[in-house]
Parts: sequence; structure tokens; C-alpha cells
Amino acid sequence: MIKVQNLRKVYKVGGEKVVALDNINLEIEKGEFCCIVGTSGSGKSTLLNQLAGLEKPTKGSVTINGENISQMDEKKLAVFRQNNIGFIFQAYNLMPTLTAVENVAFPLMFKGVPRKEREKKARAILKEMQMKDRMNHKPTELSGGQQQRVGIARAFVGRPSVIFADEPTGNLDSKTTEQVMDMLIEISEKNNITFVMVTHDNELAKKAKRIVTLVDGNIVHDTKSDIDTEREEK
Amino acid sequence: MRISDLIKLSTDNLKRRKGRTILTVLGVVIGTCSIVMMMSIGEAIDKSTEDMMQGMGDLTQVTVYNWRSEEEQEPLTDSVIAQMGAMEHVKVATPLFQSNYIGSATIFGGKNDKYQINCWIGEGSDIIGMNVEAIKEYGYELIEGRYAEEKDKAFTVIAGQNVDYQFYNPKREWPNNRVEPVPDENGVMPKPFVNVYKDKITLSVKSYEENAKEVKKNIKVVGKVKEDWNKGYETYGGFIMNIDDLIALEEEYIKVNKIRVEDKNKERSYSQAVLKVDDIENVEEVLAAIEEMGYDYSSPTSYIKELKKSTQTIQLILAGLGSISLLVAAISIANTMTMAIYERRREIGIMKVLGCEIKNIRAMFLVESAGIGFLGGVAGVAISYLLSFVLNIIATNMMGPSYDMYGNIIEGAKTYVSIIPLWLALAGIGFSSLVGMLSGYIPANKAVKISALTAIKND
Repeated sequence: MIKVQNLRKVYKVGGEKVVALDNINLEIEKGEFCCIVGTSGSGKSTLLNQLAGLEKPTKGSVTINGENISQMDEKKLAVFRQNNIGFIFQAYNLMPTLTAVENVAFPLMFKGVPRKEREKKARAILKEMQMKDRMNHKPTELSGGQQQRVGIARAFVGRPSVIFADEPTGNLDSKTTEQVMDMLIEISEKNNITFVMVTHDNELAKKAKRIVTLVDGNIVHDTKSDIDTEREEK
Repeated sequence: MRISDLIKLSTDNLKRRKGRTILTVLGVVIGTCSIVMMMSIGEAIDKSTEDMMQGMGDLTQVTVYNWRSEEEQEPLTDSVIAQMGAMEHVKVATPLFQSNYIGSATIFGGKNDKYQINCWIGEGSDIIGMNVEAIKEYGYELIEGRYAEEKDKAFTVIAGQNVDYQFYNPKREWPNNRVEPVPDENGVMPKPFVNVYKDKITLSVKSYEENAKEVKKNIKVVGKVKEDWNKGYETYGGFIMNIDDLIALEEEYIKVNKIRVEDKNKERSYSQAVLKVDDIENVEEVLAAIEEMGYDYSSPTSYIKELKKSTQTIQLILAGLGSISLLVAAISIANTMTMAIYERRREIGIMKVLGCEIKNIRAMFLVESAGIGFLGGVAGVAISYLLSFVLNIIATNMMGPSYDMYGNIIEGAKTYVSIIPLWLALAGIGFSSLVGMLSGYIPANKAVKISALTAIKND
């Protein structure tokens, strides 16, 4: 499903080179729920950006569904994102002028789905997430947890094959975090969607079946646990 | 992405920053307004020029003069005129009769010459003499009867529309000595003293000198022409006749009165000839040819050309002034768009992450800036119509009443200082939209370059 080969990313900060990712090799299976953990500066966010094709690697490649996204131009990448990728942000990143329904339907707009059709889909998914009575509210009228649910619905609405999440619970309190996390796992399992999220919260990561730990731009632990007891802690 | 979605997104964004949008639109309003107003003033000048042109006479007519001395130019003889008539685009060329010996005449009508008209003979007066075959081509419009022809007897003539009413009774006092061609309350025209078709009409030439002898000819009217002030008085109450008949009359008069004529054997030359050109477009070409032949001429078109040139210059200057204000508006649109894009960098990043294509992001901002231009254009044109309306009212009041050619007040006549035709309104809106879009072009291309990563950064 996702294949990362010899991935290296070097930033130039001032005159100095900073190695964010050293040499990453990683494979994620279809339908896997994967958490990338690591401390601040470990390179976990850079890895997510690379996986989602938000920036180009210095070396190596990222292949999703057999397509090398590292070599795509912006136009191809946009179409690829429309059809294959969902994204959940830490800061929700909803469009302030749009209602919850319109926000969820937003990615479908880029695909050219007619308004009625895409909003019908958006309503259905929001209903599933217990957001029925908040459908026509603007983001400013929603709580953090509610906003993130809209953000999650937006990622799922296009039925992508993979969803990337960048600290999706980072701005939420612990109770809501738990709810949102469970929801993410439930929906991706139900729809057999590959889910890759970045978090600095090891406790939270334990809910995932696979945990990839990064230190200084390299993978130091890669734990798959089909059975709960086999989970590993750092 | 669908166009409807694109427009919806853009208008939502314009609504989001109402204050700023309104201020930017205001700039476009002022710009559009000034261009449209300036152009409308130009249009009004154009229209009044056109109106003036219509009052200036037949535009396809060229008058050639024999003003210069014989050393300078060949006299305007029949052969020269025939040469002009043979030129390309010239429908007909004819001399106009003018005599040094018979300048005035009396036309008698009715039994015992009871009624009469006192006439002048020659160009621009009551009795016009020209080549008989030119009469029709010259553009006299028949309302009755037929044109005089070559084969007709001498003094077969056509007359002006109201010629019957020109006869007066010299034995009566004014106003009972004539019948005016004015309809009564029932719209019925009064019966004139003379009917030129039925009554005996004679042309009499006699000088005022004591011993002068009269030469008198019977004339036959075979048709009447429509009153046309672009042609002259003859169409109203005069006569148009074969120039050969008048020349023969002159010769007879000279002979009868034993007038001594110098250079008797010289070929007759004319002081004026008129040319009729087939189309306004070709007048200039003909004028150039005549100039080359060395003759002076007059034609309303040469004046119109100058006039048009000057109105065009005025229009250009006015539009130029307007353009400056629209340019300022364009800069303010570009500024607004740059600010908007800077503020929405994160949104642009998010859209990219969500799979929005570059061309759609660019289109979104272009629609937005074109929208500012469009709104400004519509409001600007609306205000221009209002301003134009007010200006015209003020101008009409200031100018006072208008008069027609008889000196009567024309009721409801207006003075236009500003005319906004539909094309100008549409062009105003279209142009401001285009300016809006062009102003947004550079900012929109900047927006496209914003990285998708902007959405991720937490700042």
C-alpha cells in the first residue's frame, strides 16, 4: 500500500544543513492503523509530509498504490490527492466561511461533484458522527471536538484509500481525545482505510496496531501488535 | 471544479471582507464613471456634429469654382466639365447657369399674366439652369410628373413643390395679394392662384433700363420636385430648366437689346459647376482629383472631416483622463488581492492539501478580482446614467429653447451634453471587469505558488 524507500530529507537552515529524515524504509499495509511517534524534532512530521506528498524528498521515494508520488508534478499530485488521500489537521483547518456540511463537502467540490450530491454525502457522514444538529453551523460556532469531527468527516468523505493525520487530537482535551481517537480507529477499520497519524503522545499511540518510533530522522522501533499484550513501550 | 462553485467561493470571500471590498469597488466605480462620462460627452459632441452635418447640405455634392484667373487655370468650359463628369465615382457633372446679362426675370402665370413671380436667374436662386440630363442624377426628387428630357421642346421645365403659391397678384395689397401654402383647420390646403400645369406660364426677361426690350418665352412645367433645403430654394418655389434654353435666351436678349459683347467668339465658361459623387466614401478621392486639375471646390465633407478629427481628438483626451482614474483603481484592486491572498495563505495551503488544483486556485482569485471590477463597473455605469441625466437637464435649461429653421420654438427639444449608448454601458462594465481580472493576475499567480505545507505549520 504505502512503500517508503531510502527516504532522506535535508533542510537548509541559513547556511547549515539539518537532516530531518536520514534514511527511512517503511511499508504500511492496506487497512493498517499506524501511529508515528517521536519527540519534537525527531522528524515525524517531516515523514508525514513526505508520505502525503506535501514536499519533495532530497532522496528516495514514496509510493502509494504503486504510484511514485515523489515524482509527480503539482497537477498530478492534486488529482491524486482528490482520489486517494484524506488529511486531518491538528488545527482542524476548516474554511471559516463555510458551514459544517459545506466544509465536509469541500474536497468533493474540487473533484467536480455537483453541490446536491456532495452535500448529501457530507450530511450522511456527519450524521454518523453525531453531528446531526450542527450541520449548518460555521466553524466558529462549534467546539474544538466538534470542529475536529468535521475535519475527520472531511477526510473520509471522498472514501480515500489512505488518510494522514497530523496530531489530530493535539488541540483537544483528554476526554475528547479519547472519543476522537476511538472514532478514527472505528471508521478506518469499518471502511478498510489505511490510516497514518503522527502523535507525540505515546499513551494514545498504544491504541494503534502499529507504532513506528522515530529518533533523529531514523526509525528506531517498529512494532506491530495484533494482540494487545504485545505492545511495546519505549 | 465547477464554475458555479468557483463563483460561489469567490463571492463568499468578497462578502467576508465587506468593508475592504466596498472601498476597492468604490475606486473602480470612480474609474468607470469617469471613463464612461468622458466617452459620453464625446458621444454627445459626435451626435451634435452629425446633426449639424445633416443641416449642411448634400454630402455627395461637390461644387467646383472658376475663381482663378485664366493664366492660372483653364476656364470652366463644357469640355472641362465633361471631363470631370467622366471621372471615376462622379455620377454627373453639370455647369450652373450664371449670366452677366440676364440676372432677373419675371414668371407670369394665369390669364393675361395676372399673377407673377419675381425671380433671379442663376446658381443659388429661383431659376436654376443645368444640363438637362443632369437634373435627375443631381438628386431632385420628383413628387409629380416627370423630369425634363433632352428631346423636349425648349423651356420644358420642372418646378419646386410649392411653386403655385409663389405667384402673387401685383394689383392687390398685402396680404390679400397672395395665397400662403398653409393648411386650414381641417388640414386642407388653400387653392393657389395659379396651376403651373394648366395655366399659361411665361418667362420674361427685361432690364430696368428705360429702352430695354423684353424677351418672353412660354414655359411648360412637366413635373414638381420635393422640397429639399439641402439642394436649394428652387425645390421650394423655383424652376429647374435646361441650361441650353437659358443660354439661347441670353443670346436672344443680347441681340434684341443690341448689347455689345466682348470676346464674342470665345467658348462659354461657367463660374460654377456641380458634381454628384456616387458615394460619400469616394468624395475625397474626387476632391483630390479636382484639386489636381487646379480648381477650387467646396464640399461639406471636407469640413466634416476636420470636424470629425477634432471630435475624435477630444474623445481621446477625455478617455485618456478617465483611464488614469481606472488605472489607479486597478492598482488598488491589485493591492486588495495581494492583501487578501496574504491573509488566506493558510486556506490556500489547506485547499492544496485537500486536492484543489492550481488552476482552480488561480481561477478563484481571478474571479474574485474580476468580481470587484464587475461590481464597480455596474455601479459606475448606473451612476454615469444618473449623472448624464442630470447634466442634460441642466444643459437644456441653460441653453434655453431650440428653434427650427423658420424660427419657431421646438417643443420638448433637449440639449445633450452626455449620451450613453448601450454599447458604451456594456463596454464600461466589460472593461472594468477585464481591468479587475488583469489586476488580479499577478497576485493570483503568487497565490498558486503558496506551498501546501502552509496548512500544516502551526503559527
